[in-house]
Amino acid sequence: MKKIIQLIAFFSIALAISVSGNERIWLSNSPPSKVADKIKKAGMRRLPVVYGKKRQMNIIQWIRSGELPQNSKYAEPNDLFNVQLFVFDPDGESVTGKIEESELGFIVSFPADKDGFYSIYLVEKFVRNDTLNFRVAKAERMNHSCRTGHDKALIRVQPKTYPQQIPIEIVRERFTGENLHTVMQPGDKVTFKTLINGVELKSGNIQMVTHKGWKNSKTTDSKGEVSFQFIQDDNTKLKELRSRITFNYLIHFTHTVAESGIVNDEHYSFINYSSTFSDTYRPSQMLYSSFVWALFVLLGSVLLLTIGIYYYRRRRRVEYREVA
Amino acid sequence: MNKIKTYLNNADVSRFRFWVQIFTFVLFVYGGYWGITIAQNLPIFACPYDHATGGTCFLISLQHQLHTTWDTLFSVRGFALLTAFGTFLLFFFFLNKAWCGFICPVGTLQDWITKFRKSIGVRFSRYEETTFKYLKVIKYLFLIWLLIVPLAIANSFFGLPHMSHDWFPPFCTICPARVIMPLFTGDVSQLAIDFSSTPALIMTTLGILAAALFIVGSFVKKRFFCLFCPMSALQFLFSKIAFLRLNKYGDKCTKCGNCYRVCDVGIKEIADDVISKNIVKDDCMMCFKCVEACPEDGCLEVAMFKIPILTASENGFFKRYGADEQKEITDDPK
Repeated sequence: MKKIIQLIAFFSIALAISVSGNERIWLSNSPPSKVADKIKKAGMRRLPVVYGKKRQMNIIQWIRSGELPQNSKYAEPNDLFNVQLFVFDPDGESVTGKIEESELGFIVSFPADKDGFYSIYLVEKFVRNDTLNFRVAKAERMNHSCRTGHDKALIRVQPKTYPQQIPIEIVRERFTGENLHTVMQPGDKVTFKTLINGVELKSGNIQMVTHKGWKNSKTTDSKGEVSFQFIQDDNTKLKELRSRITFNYLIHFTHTVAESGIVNDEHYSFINYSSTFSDTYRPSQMLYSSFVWALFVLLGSVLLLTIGIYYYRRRRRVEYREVA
Repeated sequence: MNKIKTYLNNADVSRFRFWVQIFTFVLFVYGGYWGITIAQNLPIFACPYDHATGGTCFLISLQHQLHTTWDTLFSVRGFALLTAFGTFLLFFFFLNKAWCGFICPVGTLQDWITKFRKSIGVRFSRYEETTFKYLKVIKYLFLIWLLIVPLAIANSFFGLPHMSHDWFPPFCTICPARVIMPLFTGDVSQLAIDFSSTPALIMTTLGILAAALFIVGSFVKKRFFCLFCPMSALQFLFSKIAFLRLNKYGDKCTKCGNCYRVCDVGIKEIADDVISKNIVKDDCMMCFKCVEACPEDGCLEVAMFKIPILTASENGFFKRYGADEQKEITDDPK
């Protein structure tokens, strides 16, 4: 009997995951190509912005859905269920943002006048197929312009969590000496912490996907932490380096627990937590030297081998000697 | 029927091969530009790092399919590996190792480098017999490497920690085709050393060194890389049961050695072995130069489904080599 119950529970969880956690919602800096020309960019990180009354700068983000950053579609209002937006400024204070469908697409926008990381969260809470789903799309966006100075830079980049409002958190731990200018790039080892209702998630499966599709999955340790080392993307073009382009990477995890309750008169037997975290990286600044070194090694090896073979052949050449 | 047979036996196979190689090179290097994808899991080095390739090498699929846990490998998902392998075998069975001799773009490139060397009058090299014997083992070591490493990345062997993912794909990163083939489409992105981690640094540096060795090696030695090609090793495991055969009737052999002298790879058994009927050795690429150069009637024979399609003949030999008295059988310019 116990085995049958376990089996039913297993299939129910599998079903819950399969119907609820498939679609990954995430926040992106990249506009759809049809409006790309209309978008203004501001600050050192070239964040997409629109200006309101009195030149109030509003950062905008596009809501996207899909597994791979490069191929994800731009979401539509129907893709979200019972969604709430939370935005926190670098001091941890709540900022009023809005989700809107405009000529720029389905976007999130919020005013930004402080230097440091803005944390943006889209939180969905709904019951479907006997499962309470929490879907969180988180993004951290660095708003910085060198004109505004670099005071308290180390403090302003520190991560903050908001367990009262946000049930699931993926926190990127900061590098030693990280400042307002730090951008991740291939070769960096990045650590993420996962929290559910403020408690570390042990043995959770976390996946990382870079813009061009490099994937890696790891399991969190006893502190709820997991580290990934970025690998250089294939086919990085030189123009991508020259234009200070940045790409999105995605962190994703999903976790299901058997817990029953009632929300809005709807009963559930499981809770499914699903979260994405999007941040930016840029192609390795060592890419120029990668090309130069490769060319140097290639040409050097070809030259050495050619000289080697030439002398080897010359040494083996038997000179004609007249027999006495 | 006899007329067709005589026509085929007297045909200039090398010229036919030359045109087939040009056609397939364009197909597998630039085919993607015309939206052509012949297939995945092909038994040739159709390199997927070339974004315009018209097909995909089986070795990259093999490495990806093996990059999985034991549980997954022996579950329903393991069928993906079997499907890939089945596709590879299906293609391979028809043409046997003639995929290497006629279709592989990397083989074609080596043949073109050889033609260039000949045109400028530089003599070629051959390995000594002992050296050849030792070097030919390398391709099997590469094959073992590309089978073991993906599994060792996804699984723990003998309680040891998993290998870093950065070693993946273990053969492609050190394969000269990865660096060289994309260059034909103007893509230099693979001509780079990846500094992002120690394994990536080691592997990409080895890849560049392999490319350098490929260029110089192919210049002085015909089909230099084929001796180290793990695809060739994998093919040989199934070569005996393929439909296209290269047969030798030892009782008709006079051991003149023509076949050995024209062999680009330098397989000595083709001349020495008068016992075996199936004469396809692990390094053979089935270019059929040996059949062309054999002056003994019916000594060497190419057969498909046991039907002879090209047979060595005295007439064919003189037709091919006799017309030009200056043309030496060694294929050496000087």
